[in-house]
Amino acid sequence: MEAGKLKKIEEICHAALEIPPDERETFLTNACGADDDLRREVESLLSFENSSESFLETPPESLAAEMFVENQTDFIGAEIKHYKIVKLLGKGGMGEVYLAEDTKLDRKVALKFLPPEFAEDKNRLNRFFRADEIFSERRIHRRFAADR
Amino acid sequence: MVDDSSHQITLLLLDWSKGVESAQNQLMPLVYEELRRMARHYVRKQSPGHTFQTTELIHEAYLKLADGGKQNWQNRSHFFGVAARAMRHILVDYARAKHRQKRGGWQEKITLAEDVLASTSDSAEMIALDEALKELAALDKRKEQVVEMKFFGGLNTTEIAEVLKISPETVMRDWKFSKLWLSRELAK
Repeated sequence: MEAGKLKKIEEICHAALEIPPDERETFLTNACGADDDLRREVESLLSFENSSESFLETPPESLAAEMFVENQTDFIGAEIKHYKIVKLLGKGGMGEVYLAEDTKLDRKVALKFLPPEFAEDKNRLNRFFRADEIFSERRIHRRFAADR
Repeated sequence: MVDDSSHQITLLLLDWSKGVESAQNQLMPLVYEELRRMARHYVRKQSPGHTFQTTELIHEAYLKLADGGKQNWQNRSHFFGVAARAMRHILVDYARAKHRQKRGGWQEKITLAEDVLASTSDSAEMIALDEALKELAALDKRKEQVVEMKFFGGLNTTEIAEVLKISPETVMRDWKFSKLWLSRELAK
């Protein structure tokens, strides 16, 4: 598509969005004339009128949050109760899993840390514990949820 | 005390506010590095799982530079405009790296087992958005900038209008149409 064509499409789209949906048919017939390509483009864009409303209105929080913890090195080596954090195993917007040493029982464990809003939500916690059983099936020796 | 890069950013912002257009291009990589550095520094002070908004980081970066350096660049919005672009690059770079790492490994298995850890859809979407934005830019550069500033930089309509020297109404129109266009691209 060329830039000039986009301009035309845009103008017709804006005008169409200003008028009630049931009047658009007539409007488009007049505005696009015999240019079927133009009309198809405009109509396909207008079909996203509702779904585009909330699109991009929320900042990219979860990806950013995840990225910002990427280089979290100071946490390694920290001791929480009798667990010593060894390294990060996996992470995401809904929590992080660390490999840790259980200094009491001298074995390796997996620790999962939940985001604060997650830990306060009962439904989410239940989901966490269900998933936790999957962890243990994967022969990770111990389950543990630590509050921060 | 500010370090060298902060000082350089301050000077470039001054140049830009005086109308030296090339300053804008020189600013980008510096702001990129500064934001990355600040993100790392910030993260060290936080507990895991702390959510943190991109706009919050940009704002902190601005305060740091404004406090440390010469404060008389008139245009706060200009800094935010550059920072929005830098933030887009940072996030897209991260999404791509994550995408590459996706095959195999611990995280993949967990993701498949249960949606406890964030799915990879965020990064896939970010990459798709970046591609679509590039296509949009080829047709209309200004629309790309509007989306960048609003979505990645958290600038409001007035601020965007100020940076791009267009009316707030035009910003609104660009934003509305870009959202239609990008929604369609991402639905393909």
